[in-house]
Amino acid sequence: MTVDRFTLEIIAESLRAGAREMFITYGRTAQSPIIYEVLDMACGLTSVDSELIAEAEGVPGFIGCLSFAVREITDKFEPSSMQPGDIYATNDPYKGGGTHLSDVCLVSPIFHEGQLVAFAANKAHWTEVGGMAPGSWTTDSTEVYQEGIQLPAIQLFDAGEAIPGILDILEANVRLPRMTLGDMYAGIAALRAGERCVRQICAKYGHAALRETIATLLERGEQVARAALAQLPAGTYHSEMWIDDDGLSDEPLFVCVKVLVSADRFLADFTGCAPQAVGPINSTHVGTLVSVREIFKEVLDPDFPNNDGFFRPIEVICPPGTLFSAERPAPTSTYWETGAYVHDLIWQALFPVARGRLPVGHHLSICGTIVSGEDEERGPFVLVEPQAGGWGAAPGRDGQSGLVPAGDGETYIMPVEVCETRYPIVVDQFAFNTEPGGAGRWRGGYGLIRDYRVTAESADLTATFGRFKFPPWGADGGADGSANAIEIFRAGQAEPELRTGKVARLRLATDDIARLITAVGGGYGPAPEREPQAVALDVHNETLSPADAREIYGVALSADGTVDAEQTNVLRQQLQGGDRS
Amino acid sequence: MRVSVDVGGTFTDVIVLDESSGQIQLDKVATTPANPAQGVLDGFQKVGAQTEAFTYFVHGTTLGINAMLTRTGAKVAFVTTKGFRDIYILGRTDREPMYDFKYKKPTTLVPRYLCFEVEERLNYKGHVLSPFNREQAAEVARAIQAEGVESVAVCFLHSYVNPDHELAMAEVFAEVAPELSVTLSHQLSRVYREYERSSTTVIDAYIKPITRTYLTRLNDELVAGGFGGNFLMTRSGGGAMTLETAKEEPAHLVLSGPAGGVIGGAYLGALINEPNLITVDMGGTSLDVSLIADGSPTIENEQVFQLLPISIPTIDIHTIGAGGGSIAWVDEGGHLQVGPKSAGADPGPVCYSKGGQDITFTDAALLVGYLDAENFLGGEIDISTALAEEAGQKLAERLGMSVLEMAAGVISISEAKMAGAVRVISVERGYHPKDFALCTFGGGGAFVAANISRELGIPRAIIPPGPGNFSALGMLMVDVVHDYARTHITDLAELDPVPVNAVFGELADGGRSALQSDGFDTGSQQFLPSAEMRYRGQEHTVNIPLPGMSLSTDDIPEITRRFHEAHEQQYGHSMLGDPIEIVTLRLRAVGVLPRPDLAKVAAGTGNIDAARKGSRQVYLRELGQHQEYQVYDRMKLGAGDRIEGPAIIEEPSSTTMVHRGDVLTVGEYGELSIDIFTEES
Repeated sequence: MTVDRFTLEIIAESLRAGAREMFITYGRTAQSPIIYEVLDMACGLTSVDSELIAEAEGVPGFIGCLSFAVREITDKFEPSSMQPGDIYATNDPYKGGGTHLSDVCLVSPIFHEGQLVAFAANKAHWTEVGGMAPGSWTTDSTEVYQEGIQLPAIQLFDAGEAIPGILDILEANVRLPRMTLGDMYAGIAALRAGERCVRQICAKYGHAALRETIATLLERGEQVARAALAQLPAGTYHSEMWIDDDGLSDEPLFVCVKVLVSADRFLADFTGCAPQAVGPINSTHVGTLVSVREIFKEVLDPDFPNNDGFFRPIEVICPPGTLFSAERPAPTSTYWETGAYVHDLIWQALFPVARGRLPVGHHLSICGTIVSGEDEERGPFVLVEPQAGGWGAAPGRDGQSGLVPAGDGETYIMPVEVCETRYPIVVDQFAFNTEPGGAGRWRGGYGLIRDYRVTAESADLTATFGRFKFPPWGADGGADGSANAIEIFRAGQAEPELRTGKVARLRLATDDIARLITAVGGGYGPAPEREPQAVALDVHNETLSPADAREIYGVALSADGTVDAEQTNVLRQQLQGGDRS
Repeated sequence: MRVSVDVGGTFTDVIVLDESSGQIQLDKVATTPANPAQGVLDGFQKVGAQTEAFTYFVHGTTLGINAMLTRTGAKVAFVTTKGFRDIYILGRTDREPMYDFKYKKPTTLVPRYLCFEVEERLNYKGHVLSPFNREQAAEVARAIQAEGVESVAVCFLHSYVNPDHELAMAEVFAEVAPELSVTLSHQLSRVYREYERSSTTVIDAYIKPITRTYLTRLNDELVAGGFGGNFLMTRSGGGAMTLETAKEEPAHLVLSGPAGGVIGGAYLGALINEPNLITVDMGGTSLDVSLIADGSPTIENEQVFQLLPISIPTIDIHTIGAGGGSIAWVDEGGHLQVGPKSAGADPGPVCYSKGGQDITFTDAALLVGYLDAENFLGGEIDISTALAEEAGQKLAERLGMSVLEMAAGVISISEAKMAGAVRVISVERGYHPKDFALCTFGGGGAFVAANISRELGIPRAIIPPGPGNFSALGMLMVDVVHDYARTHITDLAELDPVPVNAVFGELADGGRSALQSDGFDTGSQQFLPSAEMRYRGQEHTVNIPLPGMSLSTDDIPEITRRFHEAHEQQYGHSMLGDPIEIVTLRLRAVGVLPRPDLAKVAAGTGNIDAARKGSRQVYLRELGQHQEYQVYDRMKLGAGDRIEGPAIIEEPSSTTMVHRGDVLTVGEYGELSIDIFTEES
């Protein structure tokens, strides 16, 4: 070894700093709110062999996704003929893109003294890539052709010059070309930041030192993963779940996993899952690999800086043509509804041996919402945003309330004041959803309720709220949570006309209300074992009714709100007696 | 006589400046947490300062942030618009440590049962959708009173554009519960985003009672001692505010302490013609980094403290857990790591002999020879090299290396982390380090100044005079500042100057009357207008100074040019031709105080041998062996003296490392300026 261990640390830190700089650059210059507000993106650097070596913390749903994009590009374009200033793009869901057409990956080679030394790559959700619906994703597409323009591993720039015509095609195929091209330029600025950083490292320490550092980092990643794997009890773990439906039919869809854990192997076998669906909830093989990477990292070592070495012990078995391995031209525009089940299945399967690392089930669905239309004052508008919900309890703690799902990360929900300024919408309430659900020794966190009242003449609502039929799971005696749901109230009506999990371009008129409800998370442990003081506090905070305190938790409160110990004893004996009978 | 006091977690630093001679006196006493005012008075006594002679007393304190840290502020109720009771507690729903599935949201400063709703509603234009329901509001006020609350935070939706309902709520409190301290959101922030504004309002309400009590008490003590001068507090956003304003708007005090060092940096930079400075304040537990561009500290319009946002202008200070007390440890993979855990002041580093068991940065500095056991804090603290060696041996064995290799590794890793923090504040904000000098202070800054600079390509490092008390020194250099802002969204190309000028007119009226009551006549008032702008569709904004408060359409090309240029500088690209939007109009009103002059130091004789104390061996990782460093006494150096590395400059509160190839020059004001050697140079 020629690079001493401290220099190696410094180069490793510089690579991570480079990835972070890419991320910051992208977030701060992008045009799409979903990039700069939701941070729905990933940025990183790979080796010349397309192995991920450094990644900025992007949404967890994109962990380790960039290697697949770089591999697709290098499979198609010979790296030895690449030049500085070349830029490539892919959004092919069935290949390196791995998700849906809205997520566009950009890749550029990095050179030092004429030699290819690394790749910079990023992936981000561009708000508009064309297709049948504004905002490009929808819940009722049946073919990928309806979901936007496809960039099947193409070259955008040649030695710094745009390939003639390519940008024109892009511009002609999207509804908001200024925004789409703005996102592209922001992505390119991010690639440049990564390139600058790698070139500085090479100038300072030499290409050989970089190469050696990369090899060591990958090797170390693998060692750390295997060491953590050895801490888990070896064995086979199972889980089965039902996905609500595909958005077009009402049929629930079966999914399952068998996880094989041994000291040097982590095998996820999805054999037995439902075939790919007609509607757009399909996930592809690459998308499934990325979701497995996400939960693998969570279970083994959430803090270890991502690189491909860390993911080497993963193996995935999934026969082609299933919900988790859909093939062209299956639609994938709401892939995340299914992709989330990849990690939720493994999460539940491993929960008994990873209790210390993971809470029980949460609202899971990103609860993606699009409101679009035309406003007299503001012109055409498209509001695209995720929602936050209730997380599951864990041994020793209640679930978190109003938090983005596992697949999202540093994702903000749009402030009410910003929302009302930009869109013809009045938000009538934004509050915790404290409906019953998730009771336990430790209770689930609360979901949220957000009411959108339309002030324009009309607007269209598209939304996909998974776990509408099958609520978040509890464990060890804790109750399941409540459901995610969309409710539609016509102007002036007190009762909803519709309560559902998915809608596509539902027409809303002035003063109609779309109520977006997210689930309460799952509970952990039997409810009658919850600390009476904690129950009293929930009642005091008006998140639990005194009646539910008695019936669910067996806690009686005095007039002043304090625990009536004697009555509580009696109630709890009754509840436990009831359990036994 | 101008006096400043910086009350930190461990020490209270005092500086006295004689305005006629420019001479300064400085000292440290222990902070007295139970009654911080006592520490301040102790400090005066130790330096022999007479309160009746103070013309200006400038003060910085961590009181507010400590109350947040220890959750010892007031019992606060939160009042908001009907339908939005939970907006403060539910926050912005993000998981900032994204990969932590056991992430816990911050514990809020108000529990849900103290969050109340009032019937009223405005739209985004400030028009009334539902009128303010005075009767229902009075019921809320009575309910709050019955809960035994001390302080109330009021934040209604869209109050940033129309504050009428918040003002009506204040009237209701004045009638129903006049004993309550009330903070209205629009008085702190006229910017949209209800959660951030609510959080700002709650923080203010939370620290207001203790801040008032403390400041009133301290002022009483000073007045009893004959004090008749101006009492000023340093603000998070730079500058100072009067005692009266500080009692009304304590939210501006949260970064009161660290702001002093940055202000001092800007002042020193102006004196020595270094308008671009990165300041690094290295204390026992943390490292505060900030950037001064073209003479001005960089200001962020929103900051987050302990995960709780505060949306008022704040000096952009990046803090990491790296200081003299940072602990070295071995991770699961068998690799050496340093920090962020700190041994603090108690037990402190192993070498303090106060029971510390873990090797810290300071121990490593002692082991490699950066630090001299005989000269620590001018000999005030007894240092045990033997204890450090013993503990170092244990750690080194676990790593399979020698004690010296381990200790040098601790220094290298710490320097790399600190360089990373400097990178965040510069490169990640779009500034190139080569255009800056690094100004380091605090107890440990001068150890690492040269190597951090080298790592980032910074050509020069500067160690100011009195680096251990530099934050307090900076506090002497303040002006009085009031910040105003108003969300006002408009297209730049189609800018109608009339409403914009009307907003600036209102903001300036506020500024003028505030400065008037602070005692500034028109001659000493300055107004600095700026606008936060963005390309339409973007969220993040860039703050652009405007040519004046009365704009005409002729100014549009110049403002457009400034925006593109600033965007290019910060983000690496601009989108010429794309529509630009103004989002927020800002006005900084400044009451200019006479600037004291620092005394120059006597010219050196050119014979630096007189200042030489001897030499010592320092172990260097890149050489794998010791190298001899000449040791000098800073107090005996004069202006113009020049020392070539390897050398060590010692003074009571600090030790400066000058490595091989580096060249140190003593400046006019006694500052040490190190030209950094690099392979290219």
